[in-house]
Amino acid sequence: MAIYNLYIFDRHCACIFFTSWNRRALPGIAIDGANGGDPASAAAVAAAAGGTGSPGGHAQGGMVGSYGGDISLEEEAKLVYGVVFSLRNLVKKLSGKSDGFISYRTNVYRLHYYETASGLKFVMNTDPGVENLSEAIRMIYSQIYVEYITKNPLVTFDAPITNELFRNNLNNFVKNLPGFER
Amino acid sequence: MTIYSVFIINKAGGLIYNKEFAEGLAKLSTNEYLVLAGTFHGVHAITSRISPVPNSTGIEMLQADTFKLHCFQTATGTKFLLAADPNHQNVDAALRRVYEVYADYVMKNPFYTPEMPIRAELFDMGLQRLIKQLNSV
Repeated sequence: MAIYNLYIFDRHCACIFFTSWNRRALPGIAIDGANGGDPASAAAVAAAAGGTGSPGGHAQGGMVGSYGGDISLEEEAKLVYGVVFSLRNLVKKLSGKSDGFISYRTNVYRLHYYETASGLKFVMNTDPGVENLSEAIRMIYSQIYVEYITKNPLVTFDAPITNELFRNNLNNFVKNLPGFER
Repeated sequence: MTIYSVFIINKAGGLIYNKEFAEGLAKLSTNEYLVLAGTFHGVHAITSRISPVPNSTGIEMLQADTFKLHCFQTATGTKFLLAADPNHQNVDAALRRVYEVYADYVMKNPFYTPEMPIRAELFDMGLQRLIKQLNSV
């Protein structure tokens, strides 16, 4: 199973964190943007270093979000949020209770969604074979986000996450998930 | 193993058919179904866009707590949605058979205008028969 990327949205609909693994970077696009946490500067880094990107390269150790899309990260995050928001409402209308939407699948990827009571939304894309990642995402929230962000007195809420410890622990956790391919 | 409802959306995103076969989804007004169909049509288009891997189709299966929604898009852009209970296996085969019923009683009907709401009694009957057979398995 391959895990492609992870988005975290706060309750004000802003993307506060994005990272990706296993993403085949396109030649000519910046690799290894040092700001995996902040979508705006990741896009700026991608634009600036676009001409010198190494073809077929991959972010070092898969640690930082190597963004190789054809639209900016900010735009894509807005689209992802829009999709997730619309599907949540659709499921709420059809099933009559909220918190119903769990995941969706296309022929090449599967999107898993987890929302906390405080309005924090976790969106994770994996390959279509992965059945149920809710538990894993719940653990990411309770054991990594709560530990390193919520309990951190120096972190301001609703701001992009730039905490190294959070990123490192997240990478270790995801890499240790059963069957994660590099 | 029950199929709750069937929806058919034309290539512009308009709902041209919806029918409930079993209890399971909330009861909504026709207007609300129209809005949901339009929303789904838009979301389907965007999901192929935001894919982390190139060349993705749109949503094929949406999983929720109480139901699973499967979508089959034909080469002409018509989408068939089937809402079934979460444990239902083999909904893809069911979708193909719904498509067959559609091809026989709607497309081959000389009085049917494509992309318009479906008002064919034989289609209703054929679909009812098919879903009844699938639900009783």
